[in-house]
Amino acid sequence: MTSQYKPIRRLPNMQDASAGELAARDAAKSTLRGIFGLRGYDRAETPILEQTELYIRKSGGALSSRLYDFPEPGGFEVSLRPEFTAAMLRLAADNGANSGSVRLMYDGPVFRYASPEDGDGEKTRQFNQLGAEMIGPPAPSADGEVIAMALEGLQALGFSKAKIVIGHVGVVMAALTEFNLSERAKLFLINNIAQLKFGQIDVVSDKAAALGFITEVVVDDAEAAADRERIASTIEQVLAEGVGVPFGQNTGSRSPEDIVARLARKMSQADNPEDFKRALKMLAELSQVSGPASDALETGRKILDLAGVSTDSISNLTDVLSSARSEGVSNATIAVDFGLARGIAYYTGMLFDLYANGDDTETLGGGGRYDDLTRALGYDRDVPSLGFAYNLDAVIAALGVQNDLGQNVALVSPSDAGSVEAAVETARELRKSGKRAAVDFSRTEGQGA
Amino acid sequence: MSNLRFALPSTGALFDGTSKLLSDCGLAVRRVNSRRYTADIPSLPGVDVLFQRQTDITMEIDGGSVDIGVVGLDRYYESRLERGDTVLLHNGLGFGDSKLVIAVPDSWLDVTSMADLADIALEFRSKGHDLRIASKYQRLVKRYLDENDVNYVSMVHVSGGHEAAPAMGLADVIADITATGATLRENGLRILVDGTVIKSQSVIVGNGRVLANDPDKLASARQILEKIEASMRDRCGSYDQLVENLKPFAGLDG
Repeated sequence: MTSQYKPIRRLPNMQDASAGELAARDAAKSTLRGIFGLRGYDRAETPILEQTELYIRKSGGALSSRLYDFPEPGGFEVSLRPEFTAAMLRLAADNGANSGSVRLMYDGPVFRYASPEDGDGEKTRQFNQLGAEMIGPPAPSADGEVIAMALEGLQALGFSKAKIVIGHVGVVMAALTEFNLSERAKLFLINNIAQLKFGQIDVVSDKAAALGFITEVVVDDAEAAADRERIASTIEQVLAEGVGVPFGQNTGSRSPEDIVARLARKMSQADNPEDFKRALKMLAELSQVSGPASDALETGRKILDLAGVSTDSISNLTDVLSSARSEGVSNATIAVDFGLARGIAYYTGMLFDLYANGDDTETLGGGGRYDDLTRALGYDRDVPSLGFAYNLDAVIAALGVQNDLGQNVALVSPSDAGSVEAAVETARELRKSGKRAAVDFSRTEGQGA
Repeated sequence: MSNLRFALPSTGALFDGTSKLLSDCGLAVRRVNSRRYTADIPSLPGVDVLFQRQTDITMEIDGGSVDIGVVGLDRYYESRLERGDTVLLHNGLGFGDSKLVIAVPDSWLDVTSMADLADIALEFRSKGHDLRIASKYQRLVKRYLDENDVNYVSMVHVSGGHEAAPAMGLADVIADITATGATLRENGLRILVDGTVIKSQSVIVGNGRVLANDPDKLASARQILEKIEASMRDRCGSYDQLVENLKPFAGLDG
């Protein structure tokens, strides 16, 4: 027989936190807030729930399939926040961040669903972040401040060998621009840098082929012929009678002009497969370049030269590195990695990952620059901004925390039900002198006390 | 002796198909009148038949209020609990064929493939809005879009009549179940050439934890599957499959 008792189980991949973990988290937060505060960062808090669109506009598909989204009782489509940046930029824009720099810091839980089918089934789906945003300054010296502060925080927590690995989306983007690729082809390549970095150029090629970048998508011949015929007759009709006629009423949210314009673009300017393959090859090589800054920059320049691409874009990365040095960051703590990417296409400049040690594979956090994010969020202008966040749970795990649940509490044990009152009094006296004290009621149990 | 609670779809093509299949294999369902939601199978004592909404059956099996049931494979994948107790007992009963497809307004002449859709989503984003897709199948559709690099999409919840959503301006494209595609065509929508999210048919799903730990219910489930198997001679192995699928649940009486 199946038991009728069925305790509610904790959700998969959600964790409870122990007293020890909470104490360590509080201590880390306090240290980091102190460091950020000295540099002029103010605390800010945004709701855990925001309209889903805020996060989709920012990050797109890679994160949108990880959102905890649902309709809330008031009728809005909302999501638990998967990160803070989008909400912090919304907050700054709502408060009219027009000039100068806004410096904000934040902390709290974030939520990212990880599907077991994607091989991420073991990842924790709620974890804590603490981070900072600098909104306003475009100069590379601001990048230096953020890099220096991210390292200072880790050093203050006791990570004396903390390292930062820096990449640059701008370099990659500028290089790809010279191959005459569509925006979509460029984004595809950038989204797949991680795989290229691990030498999986074949896997990426297959994906590109399936998406029609390298070869045409294979379609049923009859269907393709019917399509061609339909398109040809539509264009004839448009030429003869003007746009709008053949479309009837249902073009949805796109205008007939949108459709004709894209059709023309699709027929004339599809990505050249040879250009795409050359770009893929260049990126596969570039993505594997990593190491001490000067060596990596040198190798990166060579690869761009060989591919016949301008190396100008590397100068921004050089400026970022020198601004970090003028903030006191030593060469030994910095590595450059052209293959650094987190599968999210919203960075526009430098981006970085933080590690406890040089040879670690688990990051403690990361960040970067995203200068066109405010416009993507629907505001009428781009506000340069950059920031980073620590994964506090990873930080605390790396520090190594003892679970001291219930430790250091003086337990006052009454010998029988009659002496409970005296025990309560003793415990109260102990607390007055600042000691943790509690009455042990377990012995009085069942005695009617 | 505990009765096996067997959920059947209460309406639609799956109701008709299930009724016929069970009759064909000597397990005709006896229902006192069509308004009652309980019934039995006279040739198989020990089984309570419950007519349920197809959308609810997987969740009820997961929750333990029903032991086994007939559902569409699409519904099963969409609504089963992650790491829950459901297992697939029969992976194809031969009726209820349908597919979940992504369809765009027919007037979008430039959009024929998922790759085009990915491109349109970027075009939308550059204008400051998302590509909105209406579907009941949020989980399956999100994964499919993700696999096809279609980014910057927002899912729109529409309770019914998805085919009308683009014309009404509620969504730009839809993902919906179709058997022949006729309804989509009539509503001015066209299926993308590589827009099939999942091909589905009716299947039998059960609560593995319950079956693995209740010999009476397991015996009843076995009889049902064997009779179905015998009547679908060319499909075989489903009892063997059941034994295989139950292995992870042995000893897990909850």
